[in-house]
Amino acid sequence: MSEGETPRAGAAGPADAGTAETVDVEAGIPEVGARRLDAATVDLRVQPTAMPDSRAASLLDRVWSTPRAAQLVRAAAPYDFLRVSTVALVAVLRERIDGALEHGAVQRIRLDATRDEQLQGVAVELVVQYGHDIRVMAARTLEVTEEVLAQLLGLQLPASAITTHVHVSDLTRGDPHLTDPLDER
Amino acid sequence: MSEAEHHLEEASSNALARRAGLGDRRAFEELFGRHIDSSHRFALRMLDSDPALAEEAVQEAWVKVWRRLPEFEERSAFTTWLFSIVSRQAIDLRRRRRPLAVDDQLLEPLAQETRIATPDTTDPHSAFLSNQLWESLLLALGELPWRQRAAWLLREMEQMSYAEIATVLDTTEGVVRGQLHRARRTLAIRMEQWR
Repeated sequence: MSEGETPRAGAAGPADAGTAETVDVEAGIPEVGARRLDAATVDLRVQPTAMPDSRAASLLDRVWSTPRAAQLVRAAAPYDFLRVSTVALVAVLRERIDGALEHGAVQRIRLDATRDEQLQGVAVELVVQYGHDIRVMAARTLEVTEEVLAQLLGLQLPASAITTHVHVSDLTRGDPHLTDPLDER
Repeated sequence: MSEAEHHLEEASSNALARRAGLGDRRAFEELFGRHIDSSHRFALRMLDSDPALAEEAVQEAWVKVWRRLPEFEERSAFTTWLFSIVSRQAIDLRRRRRPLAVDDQLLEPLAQETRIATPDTTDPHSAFLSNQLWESLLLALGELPWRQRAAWLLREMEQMSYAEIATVLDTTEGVVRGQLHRARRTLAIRMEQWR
């Protein structure tokens, strides 16, 4: 919702509402009806509509029981009987990289795996705060990525045949952990 | 772990959506807590204040949000994306229902309807009249074409801009202006008839 705008009825008109009275008169909107509509709109806004907490909690439970699309990737020998979901890998990578970067945050992580469940590539896109050294952040991101892949899959980078890329895809003026480029457009 | 990791409540919804898409469940819970009431309110008003249908619509919408967040490309703000999903979910549910004739009901005395006192209203007569007004508005809203109703609710109840409404309804700002104007005219004519 846009900041700085207010709803039409019962308050000053929104920034992009035009001149309400002029529009109403020109379009032949009945005056008494328009006044009643505005009053009813104000009343309708304050009617309770919140979902009961217990229902909201069960709705959230339903969400958690819904799996996201994922692929499995195989750990390195001698643990190659182990397969790890890409959803779990992405979540751990996000948490560790976000935690390691003071002025950068993960925007997106793409994992490339073959049909026989071999991880082939990792691409991490970062959003970074304007004015900070992106080379340092990229190096730290690569380091953390290698640590996570070693811990979860036993993959030793850069020896393993896995390509890793770090991209800086956007900038923010504020803390990228708390804000998004969309918020600043 | 940085300080910001611990301050989800300070994060914008778009930042939370980014993190939730990457598997951060705490970020998703924060997002859910922020937007469950508004998404439920919108579904409820779109579905003629039917609580069971609204809950079903909202539940399916939030399940879709959770599943699709990893592919959410942030071409629009999270809020407009969420409302577009709720809107589509509500219209799908409504299509499955048999249309109800509400003309006979509209603007008739609502003596049999449950009355909810407006907050801060101490005069019983004023409260009665006030309830009739907003209840009549709800009935009149039910007669509006779907997109006009959605546009009006997003504007007047959720305080969205024309641009945001256009994104939610996948149309242009010009179309939204037209829909809002027609909705307001129809509602005002209905309210003019109210006694």
